Amino acid sequence: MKYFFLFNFLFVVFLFNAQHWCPVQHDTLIKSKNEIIFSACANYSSTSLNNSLTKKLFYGGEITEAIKNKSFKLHVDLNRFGTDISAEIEYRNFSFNLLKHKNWGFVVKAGYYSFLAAQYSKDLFGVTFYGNEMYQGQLASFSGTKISTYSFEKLGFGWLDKKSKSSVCLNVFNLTNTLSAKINTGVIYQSNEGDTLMVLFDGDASIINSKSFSNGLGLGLDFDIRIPMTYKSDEANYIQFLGRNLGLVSLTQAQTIYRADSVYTFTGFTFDQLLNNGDILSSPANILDSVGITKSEKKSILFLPGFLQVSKLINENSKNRLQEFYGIRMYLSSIYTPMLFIGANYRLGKNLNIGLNGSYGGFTSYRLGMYSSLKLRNWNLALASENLISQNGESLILRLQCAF
Amino acid sequence: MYRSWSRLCYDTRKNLILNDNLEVKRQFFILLLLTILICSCKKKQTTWNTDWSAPIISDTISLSNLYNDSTLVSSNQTSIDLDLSRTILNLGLSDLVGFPDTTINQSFNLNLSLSNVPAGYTFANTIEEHSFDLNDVQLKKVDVSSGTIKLKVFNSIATKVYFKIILPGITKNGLAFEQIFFVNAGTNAQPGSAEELLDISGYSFDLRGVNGLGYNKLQSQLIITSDPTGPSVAISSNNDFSFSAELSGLKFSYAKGYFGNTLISETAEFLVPYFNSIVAGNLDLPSANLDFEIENGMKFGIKGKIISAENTNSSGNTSQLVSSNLGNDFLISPATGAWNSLQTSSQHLIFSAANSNIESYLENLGSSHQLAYQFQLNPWGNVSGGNDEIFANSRLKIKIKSQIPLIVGADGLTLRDTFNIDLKQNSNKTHAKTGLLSLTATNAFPLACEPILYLLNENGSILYTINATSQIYSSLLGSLNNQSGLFEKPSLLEFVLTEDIVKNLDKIKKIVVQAKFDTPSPSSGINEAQSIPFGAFLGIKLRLKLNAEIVY
Repeated sequence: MKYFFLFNFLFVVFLFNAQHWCPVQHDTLIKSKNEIIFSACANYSSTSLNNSLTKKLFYGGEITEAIKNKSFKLHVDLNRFGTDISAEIEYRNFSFNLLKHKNWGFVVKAGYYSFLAAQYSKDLFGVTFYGNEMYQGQLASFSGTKISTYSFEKLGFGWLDKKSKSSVCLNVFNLTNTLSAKINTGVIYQSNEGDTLMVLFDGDASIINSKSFSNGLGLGLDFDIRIPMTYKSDEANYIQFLGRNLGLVSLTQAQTIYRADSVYTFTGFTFDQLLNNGDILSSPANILDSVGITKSEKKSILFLPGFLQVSKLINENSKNRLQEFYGIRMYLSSIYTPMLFIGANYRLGKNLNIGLNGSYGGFTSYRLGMYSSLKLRNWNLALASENLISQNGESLILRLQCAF
Repeated sequence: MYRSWSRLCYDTRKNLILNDNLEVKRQFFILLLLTILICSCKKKQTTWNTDWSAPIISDTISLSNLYNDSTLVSSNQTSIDLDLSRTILNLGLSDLVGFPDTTINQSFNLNLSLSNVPAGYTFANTIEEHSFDLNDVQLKKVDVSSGTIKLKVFNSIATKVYFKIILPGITKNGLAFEQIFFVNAGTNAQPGSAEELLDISGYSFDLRGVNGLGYNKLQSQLIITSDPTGPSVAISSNNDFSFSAELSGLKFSYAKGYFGNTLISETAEFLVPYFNSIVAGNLDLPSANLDFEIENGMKFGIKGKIISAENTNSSGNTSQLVSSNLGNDFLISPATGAWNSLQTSSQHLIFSAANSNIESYLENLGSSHQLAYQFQLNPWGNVSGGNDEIFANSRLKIKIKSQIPLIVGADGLTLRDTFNIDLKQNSNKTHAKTGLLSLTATNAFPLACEPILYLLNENGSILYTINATSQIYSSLLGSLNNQSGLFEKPSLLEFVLTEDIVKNLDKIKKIVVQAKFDTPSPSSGINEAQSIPFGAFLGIKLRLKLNAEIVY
């Protein structure tokens, strides 16, 4: 058994493939007065980017022609890519009676979150990784491309139901940075001779030109509602409604918004422009003007990429060694398609659980994952994988729980 | 329930440290080690290669935009002439007749004292004549196109007085210049005064004086009347009455008189900057005449001579014009007619292959030209009785004229120009690795061109020489384009920017573009004189291809 656990543990660690949200072993018994849960996640997935390329993007190294070609072949007209990096620490107190109610405790949590969602065209990948020369005499279309990124921090305090372990937290958010861009229509055409470059562009991009730690403040909710459901006569199961980072932030720094809706044809400068009107190249504003890009600034209120999941939990006290779990997950992002997942948990021993799961959706399509959970006295360490087969994503998820 | 925060902390510590002390410590140590290990990971740079291309220049070089600046002309729309016409000297009335800023003063004192001068009594009415020194110029009449007169009057008696200033020779529409001042009372020590600044544009000055026979003379009349409504006043012979008229900024539109026999001797310099770029080779121009035209719009005679002409090219070689026409006096008759029917007289000095070395003089391709000349006005003196005239449109000009058919024989004619550049890139960021400048040219000139790029450091030392992979071929090697009616020849040239060049871009501070021109015959390949057709052009499309390493 030890060897199996070791194999499983190493397998998960070295492949860096882990389930984002390890199925929670729900225990209705109040065994400790306090719980500290540290969870961290680094996950990315894509419909078309092979790991050989994304690994180079994340960890560095040269992206060779072979690596580029491998991913390029996987691309269709529109493709998705997303990353989710987060670290969160949560403290649950079961001994304190919140509002003097004996079943209510409290939760304090803090975390950092970074989220990127991108939908992009095949030609955008081509131009980015090969350059524009291969599109000579062809149209390169960027239409339908959109990207949004957020990085923010959270500090929350909330209510905890000691029995069901449900919780609701009110959070204060600090937005460190955000970026969004959208290309409704974007086409670049280069003539066969390469002497004419035509750009048709309708889109906008918003960025924050500030390196401050705080560029926006907001409020939001986390909830973890666990509802008992009995569909087997001998034991109860719980359905978990999980919501995280559901909130708004108001920008304290104005976003710079670049917008263009124009057709620009460039055949080269004339000698007069280069020799007598040298200022045409000297100022970025002149260049923006000449290609019809307008620039404005605006402070706005933004929705955070909140997380929602409904799933059946594992009952830690079940007599059955084999239990199923399933659910649906989504982010508040138009690029993320709702993800369905289903899996099975097997209790190998009193303190060790392993599981397999399959999913469809999210930033990619099908994935198969596995996880392991080890309990040692008052510690519980869980590592998970949701991507054993697909080469279009990676993740490393760690959850460390200490009850005392 | 915890009663205090300290109790909560105590229990936590107790659970963490006292229970299973060694095991927990070991677990924390492993966790800390893993954390340090993960945090110490530093991402390497991600790099990949990309190929980019973009148009840089698209333009057509032709001679058409030079046709109207009198350098290139086309009289028959089929061939072009090189017109080297330049006006070297252009003198007018204001250059020949100067009238310095002048002040006329007139004062008056009674011969005897009057103890009781009644109100409204005119006790002074005098005319004076004022002469001007204009050297040997003797003006009888001028018309003022612009200028001012500032009048000041001074009264030293105890009542107000009327000053009437009349300048009898200065008239406008037949009326003499007249100004009246009502001046406050004053004393000799502190006279009452008044002044006014007036525009005298459009006035004519009769400078013949009171008797109408002189020159350079102006008259002034001063009339003084006691205050018509004031009391009687005593005027002593010591009381001063005076006025001043300050003429300034006078410009004339007409002058009549004798303008002296001034000698004008100068060396004029004019530049043809295009020729500065020629650094080597020969240009064979067809035989042409150089015509010096001296045009006289003044109604007096002039004697003149061209002393010498020389030009210096960009290599420092000076060519001297040698001709029997140089150094010899010539006379130019006065112009005839009135201002609106002025007929200028002119003198032509033609330098041809028959009487000079004009062809070699022009083929020196001088960018700096010096012309020494001399003129004398009225060489025979005042033969018109002072009735010479200069109108506003009268000019004395020296023009150089040469119209050469643009038939060019170039043999290694090399033009060179230098541009400053300042390009930098950081190899740790996204940067270019190699490049290719691709030049597509359509040539309708009967010239072949071999371009070379020299890349220099800040000291001017050549770091790299980039030869084009081909030449811009002469249009005569191409085919006739029925639409333009011209022979056109396309060429493709490439300049390879090697990895070494691109790596050292920051050291390149100047780029020298050198072009060697030839006019080869399509049959023999030997350079021969070729006629530049009307509408000839060179279409250029320059494209940059870059292999760039993206660094992320």
